[in-house]
Amino acid sequence: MAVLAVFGLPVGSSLTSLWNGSFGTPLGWSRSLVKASPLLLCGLGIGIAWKAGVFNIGGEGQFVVGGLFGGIALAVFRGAPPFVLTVLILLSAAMGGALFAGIASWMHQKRGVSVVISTILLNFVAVQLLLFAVQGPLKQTRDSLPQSETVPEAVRLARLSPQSDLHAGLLIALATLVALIIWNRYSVAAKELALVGSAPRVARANGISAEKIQRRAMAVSGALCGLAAGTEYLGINTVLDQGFSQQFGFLAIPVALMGMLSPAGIAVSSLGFGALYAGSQQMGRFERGGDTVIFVVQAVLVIGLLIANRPRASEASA
Amino acid sequence: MVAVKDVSKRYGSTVALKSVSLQLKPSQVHGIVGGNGAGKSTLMRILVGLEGPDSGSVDLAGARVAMVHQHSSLVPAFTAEENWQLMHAKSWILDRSAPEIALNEALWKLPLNVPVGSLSVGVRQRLEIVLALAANPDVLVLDEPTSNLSADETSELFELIRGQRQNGRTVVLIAHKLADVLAIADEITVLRQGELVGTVLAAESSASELAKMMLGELQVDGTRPLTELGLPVVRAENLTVSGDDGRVRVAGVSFEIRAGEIFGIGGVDGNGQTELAEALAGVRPHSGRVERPENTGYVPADRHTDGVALELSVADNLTANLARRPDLKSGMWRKRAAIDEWTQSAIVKHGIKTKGPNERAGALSGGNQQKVVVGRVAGQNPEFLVAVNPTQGLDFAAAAAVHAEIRALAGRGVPVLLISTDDEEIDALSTTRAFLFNGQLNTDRAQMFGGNP
Repeated sequence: MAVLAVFGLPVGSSLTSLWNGSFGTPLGWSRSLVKASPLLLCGLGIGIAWKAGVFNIGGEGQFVVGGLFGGIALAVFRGAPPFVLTVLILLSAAMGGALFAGIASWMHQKRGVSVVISTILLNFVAVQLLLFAVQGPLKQTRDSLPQSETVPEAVRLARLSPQSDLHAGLLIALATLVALIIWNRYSVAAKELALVGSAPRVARANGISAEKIQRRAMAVSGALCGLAAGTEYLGINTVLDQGFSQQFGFLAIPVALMGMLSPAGIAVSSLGFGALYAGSQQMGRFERGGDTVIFVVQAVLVIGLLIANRPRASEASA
Repeated sequence: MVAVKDVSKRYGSTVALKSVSLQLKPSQVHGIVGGNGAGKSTLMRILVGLEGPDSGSVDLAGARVAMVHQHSSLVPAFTAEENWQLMHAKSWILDRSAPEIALNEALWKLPLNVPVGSLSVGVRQRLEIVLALAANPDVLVLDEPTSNLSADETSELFELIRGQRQNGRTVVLIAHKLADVLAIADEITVLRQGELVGTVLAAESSASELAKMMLGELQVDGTRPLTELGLPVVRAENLTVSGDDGRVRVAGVSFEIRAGEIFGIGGVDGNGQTELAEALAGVRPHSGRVERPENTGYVPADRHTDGVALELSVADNLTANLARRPDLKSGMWRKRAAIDEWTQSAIVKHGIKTKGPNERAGALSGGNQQKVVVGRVAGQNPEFLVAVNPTQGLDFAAAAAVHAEIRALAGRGVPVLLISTDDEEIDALSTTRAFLFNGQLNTDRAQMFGGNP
């Protein structure tokens, strides 16, 4: 509210449109879920890397390359039956994200380059790769617009209701969430991941290869961001163009942090951020600048969270 | 005269100190002894002013107090000089002039120009003592300074402490080795579970009397079973290991350890012991050939960086070797009930003082963290054990239990590489003794059955 006032926006009507655009109406709900599902996948991905002590800031780049690989898969496997093609596109997208994340892993482990730096920079590389692709090899042939071929109707992800954009990508995200919750709760590897993230030297002293686990965590992280792009590509965008990414890979970082890096927490925070995102778009229709104010709100939330978490790290041990 | 009066301190539901009083006289060495978690470190932290008491008072009477902590408080990336400048910065401008550490010239030739993090634990500790003395305090508090020092280093330290006493300083010494305290202290204060048992004159006391005060009963050390040594299980051939700084620390060493053999390596810390242990435990790259069982248990020298994950729970730390625990997992899944049950029993068996399996390991006292490491390694039934100062920070009851554990392992035919700066420990346990000096190994198999009963 204070933020709204500072920016000179009418507080009452802004809040009303924020509410209507997110949870206040059935349509708002579905809009929130549409935004939440890629945020959930990317957030789970970022969360798993951070938990392993790999500070992956490259969700955005992995998302973009995932979309790019999806587009390539569509071009390469054009003749395949629709359902098979859908699966191939999603798998390629995940693979693209994983491979792109692998570049940062390789640079870190073989050449000692900080993951934070390399993933940030690779984000720009990814966007340029996409631009090159949609202006060149992947460009559609109908007109001069720099975008790829449109995904055929039959290959797209099924709509869950005729009135909204809600699509089967949400089910993919939820299935991934359940799988990760089970893995986290019952697997040996989840404990090893947390140990590597918390104390890599202790992990090594117990015969665990910290490098191997961090490499895998980074690959899964990139794969989930790429998969998110695949579902967006097949469910919402249906073409690749320079506006393909909607900052999901960046937003995933606060989503994962607010979710305390745990799958269930990330599910809740992705819904919250999805609602903020959807609500702010609604607000943007009525108030000038309304859709950007929400990024300020998110930034304030994240900074507040970081400040609140700080004292634990410096807590003295007796 | 510095006086602590009726000081009490609680941490949550745990009572760390119950109405403890202490008087420190000038020109005196005051020993403080007690079991793990007796409140020694807490009392010192209150004396130094790092923590306030819940009740009671501390009267310093204008005296300056400096403390050398049990765990390093130096910045690893800084050199000794830079650490000194950091500690003694009077304003926001750093005084770049080199500190005059005359003591360093007199006693220990310590490297002042390399990052502290690349030094061994023992060398780092001596450096901290020297840096603390450079501040010219009236009262110097040393928290377990001898636990990582060899016998020679310990006597050098005592020499230094006596010198400080002659200069009119008070030295407070916390130590687990009663012999050490009796050798140097004038007065000894005994704590048990946060309570003051009493203060005695060292000249009128004995190790057994102190032990009785600490425990209420006397523990008898176990004796070494006579086991026949088996076939060689662990082999190192022409093993060369470099330290973090790239310098060769172990130079072309060859040896073998037989089934049931406790291969004890003593010597002054910093002569390649840590690097040798890490190579044998599989955590440091090396050249030459090492043959060892995959299931190797490792008790590392630095428990804070290599032993326990401070942010994780006691339970997670006890089972950090889950991949090597076929009894606690099935395929890629954890056996959660079995893990809970075993964790509870390990806490009881090893006497780990904790609020419960979910407590953060960083909240435990140093000795209890060491027990977590030992409990974890014991749990994996290792086929080869690498132990570096396995009883550091443990009171002698807990240390005796660890010694019994190591003997039992050897009795079952497990080869053990024991590296310790404590000569008594090497003497008490080893079937074979060796010394590392400048990366060279001198084996003394002749002493195998002679010398030590």
